[in-house]
Order: sequence, then C-alpha cells, then structure tokens
Amino acid sequence: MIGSQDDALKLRLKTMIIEECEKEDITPEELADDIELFSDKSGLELDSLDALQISMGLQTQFKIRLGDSKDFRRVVTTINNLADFVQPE
Amino acid sequence: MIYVHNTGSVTRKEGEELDVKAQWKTISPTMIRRTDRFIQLALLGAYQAIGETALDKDTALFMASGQGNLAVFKRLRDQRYIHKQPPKPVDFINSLSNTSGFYVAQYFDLHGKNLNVSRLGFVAEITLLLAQNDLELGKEDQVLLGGVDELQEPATFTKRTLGISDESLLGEGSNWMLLSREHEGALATIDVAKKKMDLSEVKAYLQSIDPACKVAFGFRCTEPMIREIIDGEERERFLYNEACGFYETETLYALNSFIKEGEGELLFINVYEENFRVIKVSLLPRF
Amino acid sequence: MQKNRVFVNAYESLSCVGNTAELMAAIYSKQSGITIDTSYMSEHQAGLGSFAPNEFFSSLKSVTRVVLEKSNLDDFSNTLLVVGSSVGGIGKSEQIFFKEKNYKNINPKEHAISVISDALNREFGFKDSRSISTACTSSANALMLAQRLINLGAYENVVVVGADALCYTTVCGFQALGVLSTQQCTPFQEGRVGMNVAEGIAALLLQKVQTDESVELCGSAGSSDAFHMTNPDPEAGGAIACMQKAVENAGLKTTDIDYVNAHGTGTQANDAVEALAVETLFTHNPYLSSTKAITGHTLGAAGALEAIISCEVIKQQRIAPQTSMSKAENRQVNLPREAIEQQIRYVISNSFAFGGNNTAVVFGAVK
Repeated sequence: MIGSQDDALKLRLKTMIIEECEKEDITPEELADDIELFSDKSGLELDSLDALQISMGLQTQFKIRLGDSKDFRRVVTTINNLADFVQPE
Repeated sequence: MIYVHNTGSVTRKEGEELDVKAQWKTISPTMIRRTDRFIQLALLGAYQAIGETALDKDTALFMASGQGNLAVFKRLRDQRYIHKQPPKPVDFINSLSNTSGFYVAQYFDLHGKNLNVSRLGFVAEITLLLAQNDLELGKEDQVLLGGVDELQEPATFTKRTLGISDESLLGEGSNWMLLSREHEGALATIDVAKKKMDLSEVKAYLQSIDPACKVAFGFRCTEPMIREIIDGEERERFLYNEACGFYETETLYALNSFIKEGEGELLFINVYEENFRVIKVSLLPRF
Repeated sequence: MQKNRVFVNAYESLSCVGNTAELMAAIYSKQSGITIDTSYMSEHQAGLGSFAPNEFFSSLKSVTRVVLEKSNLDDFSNTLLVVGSSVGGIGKSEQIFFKEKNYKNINPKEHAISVISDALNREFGFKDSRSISTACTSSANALMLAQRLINLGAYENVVVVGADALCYTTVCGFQALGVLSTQQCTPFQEGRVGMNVAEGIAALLLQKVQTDESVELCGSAGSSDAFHMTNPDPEAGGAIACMQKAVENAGLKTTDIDYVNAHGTGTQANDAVEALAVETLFTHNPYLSSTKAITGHTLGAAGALEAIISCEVIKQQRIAPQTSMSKAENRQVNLPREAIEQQIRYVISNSFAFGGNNTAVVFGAVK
C-alpha cells in the first residue's frame, strides 16, 4: 500500500514529528495530511532545528536517511508526501 | 558598593522531590520547547527572582555552575555508544555551557553580556566577584546572577568525586539575585573579598569585624575547621544548611536565605583545597 | 576611575598548521591545514583541523611554557590564569567510556571545563584561575574578563588560554546540525556549505606594563541576541551591538578600524549575518577576512587564537587574505584576495556563539 493510503503509517509519522519537535500541545488528529508542515498554516511554527530533529527521527525510527537539506525540503512537505516517500508501494 | 535588589531560590536535598516541570506549569501553561531539566531549573530559579518584572535590556547575565549539565552529556554518550546513533541535534545544543544562559536571556529579553562560569570550588564566589568588578568599574549597571547545579545520582559516587563526607546530603538548586549599582530600593549590600585567604588570615579577618555580624560556613568547612576559625568567639551562626543539601553553588542559597530571613550582617566563609573566600552581606532597612 | 591600560606582551599557539610563526606563514601564503577525515564518522567525510600526533595536554603545557619564556616574568606565581574552553575534559571522559562502556570511572573533576586550568595550575602554580565556557566565544570572553581585571587593578599579569581538543561530541554534534563541510571551509563564499571543526591552543600574556613587544588590547564588549538558540538574528542586531560597544570601550570611532578578523565559520547563517553587520557598522569598508579557512574553527579556542592573529597582523602591518573564496556572497564587504601591506592601527576580532552570544575585542598598535 502506498504510504499516503496507510493511516497507521501516517499516525506514526505524525507522532514522531510531534515528539521530535516537542509539540505535545498538538494531537496527531489535529495535524492534517495535506498541510505543508513548514508553512504558517500548519500551526506548528517549525524552524531549521526542527528539520534536523525530524531528519534524525526518520533515520532512527524509519531507517530513512536523507542526504541533505535539499532532499529534506523535497520529501518533508506534507504528511502524505512524506508517507509516500517512506513507503512507495 | 554593590546592591542586591531581588533574590529567588529553588532548592532540594537528597530524598526530596522537585518536579521542575510541574512548578513551571504554575507560571506558564507550556514548557519552553527544547529545554531539559537543567535548563528548566535555571529558568525556574531566575523566575523566582524576577517574575514578570521587565528588566532593562542591557542587564548582563552571569550564570555559574559547579558541574554543569552532566545529564545531557550522559544522554549524548548513551546515544552514541549504547544506541549506536548520532547525537540528537537538540541534545548537542543543550550540551553547550551557555545554552541555559541563552534561554534565560531569551525569556527575560536580555541583550547584554551573557557569561557562563564553570569551576570546581568557589564557583559562586568567583562569579559574584566578576559581577562586582564589572559593577564597580561601571561596565555594567545591573547584573542578573545565578548559580545552577543538578543532583546527579548515585549520590555516593558524586560525593566521593566532589570531596565531601558521606554523611552530608547532596542537593541541587537554582539561586538567583539581581545586582545593581543603584542603592534605591535595594534589599542588601554585598561585598566579595577580592583575595583568597589562608586559615590564619580568615581568623584574623573574622576577629576584626563587628561582633554582631553573624557567620555561616560552606559545606566543605568541617566542624573542627569551623571551631578553629571561630576560636572561642561568641559569634552567632546562621544555619541555612538544614533546608539545603550540598552542591557547588549552595553559597548563593545561603546568601539568598539570609537576605530573606536574616537580620543585620552575615559573613559567609567557604573553603576549597585549604584556601578560604569570604563574602559579607549587610541587610538594608526595609520600609 | 583611572583605568590601567592592557598590553599583550607575549603569546604562542598551536593549531593544525603548527605554531604561531607557522600559522602566520600559512595565512599569508593561503595554505590551509584542514585534512579530510573519516575516522570520527565512518559514514561521513568531514574536513577537520588536527594537530596530531601532538598530544593535547602536553601541548597545552608546552604552549604555555613558551609564553612564560617569552615574557618578562620568572614564573606565574603572581599571575592569574583565565581559561576559555567549550570542550574541557570531555575527550577524557569519552576515552574512558569508549574503553569501559559505562560511566563508573568518569571523574567529574576530569570531565569539567576546569580540567584545562587544573592541568596548567599543577604545572605552573598560577596565583589563581578562572574558566569561562560560552561555546565558541569562550576565550574571547576570557580576554574580556582579563582586560577588566587589569583595568581595575585587581591583577597586573593575566594569562589567557583558549584550548579545545577535537572530540566525538563536537564533531558528531556539528554533523547532526548539518553544518560540517566535507571539504575545506569557504568563508563568505557564495553557496558555502559549512564549517571545519578543529583543535587549537592559544595562550596570551596580558599585562599592565608596556614592553617593546606590546600590542594594546584597547577594548572589548559582549552582547546577546536573545533571538534563537542556533540561528543568529537575521538583522545582525547582536553582532552590530557588540562590535559597536567594543569600539566605544576602546575609546575609538568605527572609522578607526583597519581590519576585521571575522568569526567567519563558513556556515550559511553566520557568514551572511556577520557580513551584514560589518557592512552596516563599518561604512568606511575596512578589510575583512576569516582565518578559519586556514585553521578551521577551534571552537572555544578561536577567540584567543584569532587574538594572536590580530596582534600579528598589527606587528607585521600586513592584512590576512581571505583563503578559499572565489565569489563573495556579499559584494559590499571588502574581502582581500591576497595579503595587503599597509598601515594598520586598529583591528577588531569577532567571536559569535550558539545562544546568540557575541563578543568583539579591539587590538591596537602601541603609540
């Protein structure tokens, strides 16, 4: 199943992002699948240090290693996009 | 002359609980992101001293710690050697000595000089002396000064390496004071002796001051040493140690307690490796 | 109050390019000491600056001994020691943990920042010592503290030592932040990719007395951005404030500054903001360069090492060129491609650290 169809995977990704970025006041349910995580609309107010933490979370919990910040910006856009990258089929 | 305007302390000793997060939640509904317990301890102590008062932006920040943030070092080592993972960015950042200082400066919106002093033995005395120098020179008008140490368990090992007796209880604390050149509204004056002394010099110094001045001793001073210094003099002792266990910056707890509860004057005497340092606090009349 | 003047009368250093004489030769001939390493992180390559096979603690003592030999003092019994370090004894603790896989034998007395001053105290018997640890501004802040103490008359002689060893915590930590360059760093270059972590030891004797060798430490100041833990204030408020206050502390005008020895780490964030700060404050366009392209970033030692470079620039009346830069990102600042001989009266040296901790120190030729 492609990642964006896999609700369990998306919940794990959301939980990881909330934990790594210490945003416990937001629940995974409040985080929409199609919102740009690093935009103002997400309400997360993430910065470059959060990007590094998420990158580390992907590495340790999902065994996904992103090469550099360009790769990161390409992959970590919305939850749907990230899920598709983590689980392409 | 330098003046103490505000003081604030958080402290606990071995066996007691101190839930820093819960205490912070009584101040603000959310914990400041990315801070660990050591940094939270620093913020909580500083808040006790400053509260919601807006400080002058140029206020300098001097923070002292005997041991620094040892817990984050352990986390970083665990990540590398036990979990075989790279360090977490936030933990690496928090391992820098000046990180706590940053969070305090950011919280209280301070843009002046921001120093972190680390040292085993006399760290609070030295940091107070630095602040006193800058204030006397007119380099700073106001300094927010704090000392933070976190209790590391197991305590037996820590006691051995810190060189204190097994009977003494360890503690932790975050003790802060706002120092200024301004006399108006001050709680007390503080005078840190610039030179360290040997035993005979500290005895002579004590004999030369007003008999009504009380005396208190740091945890490294043993009872035989204290008897030798007092030398039969009838001088009242200020006993702060019951509420606080040993940590490197406990000097600031002693001074803050005296400013809060004491009367008159206090000479605080501390020892490290056979050298002594003294600090004199004089309370000002309260209106 | 009449302030005592402060003179830098002797110094020595060790970095990946060697001692101070070798350092200046490398700077002027644009020969970097950075090597490409895979021993710290098998999965990543990193440009690092190492002075191996010199051992850190024995080098610390020998560098300090050279300062004593070059000085007018017989010993350091009447001298204060002020150390600036960010790593302290972490390397020792790492070795213990690496071997034993547990913390039992890690000694807090050997882990702390004060390990450096303890080692030097045992060797030289200083009158007293202090350690300052504010990450990458540590030894710049140590210089500021030493200046104040001599100004005030509390001490006549102060030795400032900046010292940081390479260790896993810093190399892997900066890698985790994504700011390490796999190659030699390229400060102020368009499209630069990051910094080189390096080790360094730098010791300076500051005195109240003036000698034939003196360079004056004229002023210093610090500031806090209070903006973000790792990112500098994009408007450069903190960087501008500390340089301006340091120039004022020296009793000078900004137009008196002939050369800015930059913090210039080679990261995107630092160099952009620092160039903006220099462009904004120094409208007369003085020369600006970062010698970290030669030495790497020696972290807590950088302030002291670059203080020595600043003193040498004044003594040799020769501006340090910007190595490893072909196309500047900021065209408004004056980055010299080659060493330039000219009259140099005043130099300002910048150090900026995480936590928005900024320090600038001004040095001047003795009139």
